[in-house]
Amino acid sequence: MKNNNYNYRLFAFIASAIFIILLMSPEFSNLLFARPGGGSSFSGGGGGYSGGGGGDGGLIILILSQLPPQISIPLIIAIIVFRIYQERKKKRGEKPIISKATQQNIQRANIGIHNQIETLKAEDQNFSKVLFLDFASSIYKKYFALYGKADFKNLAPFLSDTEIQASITSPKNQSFTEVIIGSINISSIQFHSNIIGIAVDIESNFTRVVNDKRTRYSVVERWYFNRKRGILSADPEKMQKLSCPNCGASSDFTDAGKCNSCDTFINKGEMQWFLKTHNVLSQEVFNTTGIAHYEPERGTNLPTLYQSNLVQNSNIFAQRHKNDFPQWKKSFMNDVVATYFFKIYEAWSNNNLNNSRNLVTDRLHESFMFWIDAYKTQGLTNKLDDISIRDIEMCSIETDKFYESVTVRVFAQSLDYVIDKNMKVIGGSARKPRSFSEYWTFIRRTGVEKDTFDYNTCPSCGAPSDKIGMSGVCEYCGNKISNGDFSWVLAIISQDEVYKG
Amino acid sequence: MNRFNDEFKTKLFDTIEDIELNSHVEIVTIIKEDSDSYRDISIKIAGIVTFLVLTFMMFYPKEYDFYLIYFVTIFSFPIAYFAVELIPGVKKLFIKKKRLTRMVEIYGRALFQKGGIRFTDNKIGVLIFVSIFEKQVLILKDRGAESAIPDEESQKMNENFAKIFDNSNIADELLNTLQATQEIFTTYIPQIENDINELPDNLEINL
Repeated sequence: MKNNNYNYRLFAFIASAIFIILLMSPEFSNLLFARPGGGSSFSGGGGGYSGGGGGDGGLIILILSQLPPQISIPLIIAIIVFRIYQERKKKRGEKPIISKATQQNIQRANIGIHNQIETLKAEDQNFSKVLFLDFASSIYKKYFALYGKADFKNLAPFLSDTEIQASITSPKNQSFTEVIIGSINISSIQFHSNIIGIAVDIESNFTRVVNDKRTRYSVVERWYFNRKRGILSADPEKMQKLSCPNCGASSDFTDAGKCNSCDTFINKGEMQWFLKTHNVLSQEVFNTTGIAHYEPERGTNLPTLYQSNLVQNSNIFAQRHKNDFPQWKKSFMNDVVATYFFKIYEAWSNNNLNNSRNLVTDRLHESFMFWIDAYKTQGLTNKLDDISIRDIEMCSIETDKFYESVTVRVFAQSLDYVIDKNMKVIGGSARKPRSFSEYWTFIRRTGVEKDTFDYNTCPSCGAPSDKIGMSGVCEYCGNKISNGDFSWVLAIISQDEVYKG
Repeated sequence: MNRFNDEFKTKLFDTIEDIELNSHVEIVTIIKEDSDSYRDISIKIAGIVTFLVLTFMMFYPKEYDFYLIYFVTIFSFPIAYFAVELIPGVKKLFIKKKRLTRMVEIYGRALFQKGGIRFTDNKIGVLIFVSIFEKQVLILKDRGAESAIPDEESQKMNENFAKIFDNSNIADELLNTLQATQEIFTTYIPQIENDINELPDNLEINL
C-alpha cells in the first residue's frame, strides 16, 4: 500500500513537472487587426507579451524536496538544459534578415522624395502631389475597368505603346472588376535630361473574372509615369477627370491617340503624364477566411516619422492663413482630428458609413466599404468600443498651388473585437483594451479657410448630410464634397509600421 | 544573429541601393541562422546516448536503484538532445558537407522563388543568401544576370563571399565584399536610364 502511494505521488509529480514545463513555453500567435485604416492586408504593430519567467526556482525546490535524488537530479538537469535551449532559440530568432529598408533608410528616402518633389515644384509650379496621386488612381482604375476592351483606346494618351499592346493581345475571356485602391504613394522621382519619371506604389484589391469564374486578388504594384520636362501640370479639373490634355473634353480618342473632340494628336508625355511601365511587386489571392483574427500591434512603439522641414512648412502654412499656428494646431487636433476620428470609428463600428461620407475622400470610402462588405460576407461585425485618444502628434504639412495636406499620428486605444451574427466574440477582445497608433492624412483645397463645420451637414450647402452617395456628391446642392473643396477630408489612413512619411 | 543589428541592416540596404544606382541589377541579400534544423542529427545522437546510458547502468558491476535506471535513462534522452542543439559545433561534426551544401541550395532556391526575385523584366534579379551555421554563401542569379556575368567573374565573386567566414566580424566582411561586387555588376549589367526598381523595398518572405 505504501509502495502504491509512493508510485502515485511520483507519477503526479512527474506529470505536473512536464505540464509546468509545457505551460512555461507559450507561443502565442494571432493574426490581423481590423479597424478602418488597416483592413486585413496589413500587419499589426507594437505591444507584445511579457511575463513568463520565474517559477523555475520554486519548481526545482519542490522537485528536490518531494522526489528522491535519483529522480530529481536528472529531472532538474533536463529542465535546466531545456530552459537554456529555449532562451538560445528565442535569441537566435527564426526569421531571416532580409535586405530591406530600415526606419533610418525610410526616413532618409522620405527626405529625398520630399526634396525631389520640391525640385519638381520649382520647375512646375502647378505640380500637386494630391492631384498627381488622384490622376494615378484614375488611370489605375480605368486601366483595369477597360483592360482588353475596345474602349481601352481612350487611355491611349496616358499609356505607353507596350501597355496598350498588352491589352490588345490579352485573352478576351477575362475582365477586371471591383478595383479598390488601399494605399498609393510616390516611391521615387527621377530627373533625366528630357524626362521626369515618377514611380508610384499602389496597394489594391481587384476581382479577375475568367470564363465567368471570379477570383479576388490583393496586389502591390509599382507604376512608373513619365512626362516631358519643362511643362506645367494640368489644372485640377483635367487631372481629376482623365480628359483630353489639350481641350479638356471627356476621353474619346482614336486608336492612334487623336482626340475626337479637338482633332489634336496627343503625343505621350508632352502635355500629361503617361504610364511607361508597371510591375507587380506582390500578388496573392484574397479571401475573407480568417478576417476575424488579430495580430499583435507591431508599430505602436516605433518612433514618429516627422517631415524633415515641418517647422518651415508650419510657418508657410501659418503665413498663408494668417493664423497663430500653435492656436490653430490645438484647434485642428481637437475639432478636426479628434472629431473625425470618433465619427469615423463610430460609423465603422456600426457597419454604416453614411454618417461619415462627408468626412472622407472617395478612395478611402471605397476602401472602407470593401472591408465592411468583407466582414458582412462572413456575417461579422468589427466592433470598436470605449475608444479614447491618448495623444495626437503633427507629423507633416504640405502645401502646393491647389491643395494642402496635414498628417497627424493618432495614439488611441479601444476594445477592438469581431462578433458574429449571434453576437459571439470570435476575434480580438471585448475586455482588454488594445493600444494602437495610426497616421491620418487630411487634405483641403487651397484657399478654403473653414476648418470645421456642422459634421452632420454638407460643408457646401449646409443641408443634412444624409444624401451623399458613393460619388461624394451632395444631392441637395450637387457639389462634390469629398475632394476637399469645401473643408478638410480624410484622405489616407496608414498603419504605423507601414507609414513611410 | 545579434551581430546583424539595425545599424548593419541600414548599411546593408544602403550598400545595395548604391550598387543598384549604378547597375541595372536587382539584389536581395538574405541572412539566415541555418538552412535546416538538422534535428534528426540531435535525435540520433540522443538515441545513442540513451542506449549507452541504459547499457552502462544495466551491465556496470555496481548495482543501481531500480528507479535510478529508469529515470536516468529517460532523462538522458532530452538532456542529450538539447545539449546537441545548444552546441552547433557538435551537431555539425555529424553532418556531411554534401548535405550542408544541399540544404543551403534548397533553402536558397526556395527564397529566390518565394521572394519573387525572378519577377524582373530582364531577369536581372540576384539573391545573395548567407547561411551562418553551414558557413556558406549561395549566389543565385536569374537568367539575364547569369548570362551577363562571365563565369570567371562569378567564380571570383563566389570565392570572395566564401571568405567572409574567415573573418571574426562576418557582418562587416559581408558589407565589404558586397561593396566590392559593385564593379562587376556595373560593368556587366550597366544601368539603364529611366528605369525603375522592380522589386519591393520591404520584401517579406515566409517559408
